[in-house]
Amino acid sequence: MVWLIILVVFPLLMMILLSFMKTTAMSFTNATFSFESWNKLFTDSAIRTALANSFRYAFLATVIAFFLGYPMAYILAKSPFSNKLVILVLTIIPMWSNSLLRTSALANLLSADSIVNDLLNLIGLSFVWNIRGTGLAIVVGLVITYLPFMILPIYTVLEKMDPLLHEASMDLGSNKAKTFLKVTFPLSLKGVATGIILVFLPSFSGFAIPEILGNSRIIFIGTLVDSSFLFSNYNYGSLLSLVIIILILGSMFLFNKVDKEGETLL
Amino acid sequence: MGKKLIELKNVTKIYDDVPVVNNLNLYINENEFITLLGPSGCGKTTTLRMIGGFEKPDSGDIILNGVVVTELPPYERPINTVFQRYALFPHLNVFDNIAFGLRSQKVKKEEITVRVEQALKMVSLPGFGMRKVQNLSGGQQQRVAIARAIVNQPKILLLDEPLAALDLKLRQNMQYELKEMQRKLGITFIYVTHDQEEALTMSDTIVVMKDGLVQQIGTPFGIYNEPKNRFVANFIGESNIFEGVYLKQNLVQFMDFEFACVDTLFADGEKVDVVIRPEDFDIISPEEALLKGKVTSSVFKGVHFELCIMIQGKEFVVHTYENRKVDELIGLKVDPYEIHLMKVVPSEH
Repeated sequence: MVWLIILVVFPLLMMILLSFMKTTAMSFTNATFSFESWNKLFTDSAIRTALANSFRYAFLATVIAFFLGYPMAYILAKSPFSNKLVILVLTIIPMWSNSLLRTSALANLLSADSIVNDLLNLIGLSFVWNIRGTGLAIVVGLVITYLPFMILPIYTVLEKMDPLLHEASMDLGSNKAKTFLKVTFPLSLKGVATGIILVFLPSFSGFAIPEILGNSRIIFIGTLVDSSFLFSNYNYGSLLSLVIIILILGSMFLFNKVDKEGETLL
Repeated sequence: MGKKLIELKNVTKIYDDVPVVNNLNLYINENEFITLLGPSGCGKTTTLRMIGGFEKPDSGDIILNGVVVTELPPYERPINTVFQRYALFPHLNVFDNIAFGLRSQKVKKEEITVRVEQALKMVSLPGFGMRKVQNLSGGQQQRVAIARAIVNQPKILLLDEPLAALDLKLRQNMQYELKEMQRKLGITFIYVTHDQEEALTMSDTIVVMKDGLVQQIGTPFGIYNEPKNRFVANFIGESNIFEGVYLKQNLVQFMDFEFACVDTLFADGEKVDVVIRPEDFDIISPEEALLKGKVTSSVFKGVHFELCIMIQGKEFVVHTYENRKVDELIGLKVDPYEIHLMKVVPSEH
């Protein structure tokens, strides 16, 4: 309980306090109460651009991850047991590596001097996909990074589904396609909802992937937070962070409504 | 009898090199309540699933109404199934569960409503349409599963141990209800169970199976009174089985005594298995009896007492309404028509 207060509650209170003040970084000398940060929140156009960008890219990444991830989860759930474990591990392994390194490596692959191209040149071939710095690179990065989060909850739900339900549906006259539409897919929606939330949230609030793959050209809400703190405007930074925290808490509340027992979390 | 509705010709199914169903030949008539009965692993459920289309035979054919359906998937066969664990769709309410098959057949909305209500009435759940399936008791879920199948008016209904998960009283009620339903609907019920009492109660015909092979086919009364071999005699009801010799016409010898009997289809001097049901013994005074011995145990079974009596080193099981004390010396008598002889199958000894 004590740890909760020290590590969570206290910093939160500090952030709320800071958002209502004007200070020099974290120092409280010459600090005054001010609504400057709040004012900026509602008037600065950068915020609106950033929010729109964050939303657009997160939405796009989520939709693509869904259309790629659902079939992959379905095939995985249907495959024989020995293959399943191997593929599951392969899906999870990238998450173990350092995310900045991973993203930087991806950035290299998507630029003119990609290491893959250098290797191919050795045998006389060439392949360059120079999209680093563009929105497309950001989308590619988001999808590749968060695809496992879409696959796993859907896979879990499909795997746990009673196979007799499919047999019952076919027994009652529905062929395989109709069975999928009328039985399998509706019953997998819990996993889909979890997957959507787990992809959308970090895509929305993160800034490392947009910065590295987009060469900082496109502004996200996370970028604003980062630059606020970089320029020692802890007040504005705190306020923005609180906004993101509220959005995340709201989504977690939504998630809890959809999957009370945490069934889709493997 | 009726016309042949289903025929299984030389059907074989192999799992892990073991023939779970071994060259099965069987035909089933219209308007019949037929039960596949046997212990776990005898192949009865696999046979049922092959009829339904959920498994494909490795060899042999399944013929429905003269049409070879071996390769057809379940949704192309005029058959519906009641599964052991109900398999109700959790995301649909009772009405939508039952209407599922009708909607596949593109039946009109008004007709669906009428037929679903009729089905609910038939399973004694009128007005349950709006309920969620998770809120129903086991017995109610089972009845919804039955309604969901019969509402489609299939020619054949498959039932895979549907009453296994219910408690005794409920199971017994449902057995009578199912029998009534089959009579009213006039369709063929193919029922699978390992419970011989259940099979005896409900069936017109029983197919006793073991290790993928048919042991005996007959009416409940016929199979009970005239089991063909040791396995059937042991599986259906209780029995006392002794090794004996058929001396000559109407005379059999076992337990070193000669008994008059009524079976005649044996050769003189042929070895036979003698079956006597526990309830067919009469208890008489030891002085008048050929078979006499001491009571070794007495257990009250709720309707009768089950006595074990040692006679010449062999244990006899006898059912009687009057109790006898342990260590009491009693005599046993049996009427000739209650001594049943079976051919000896070498592999069983």
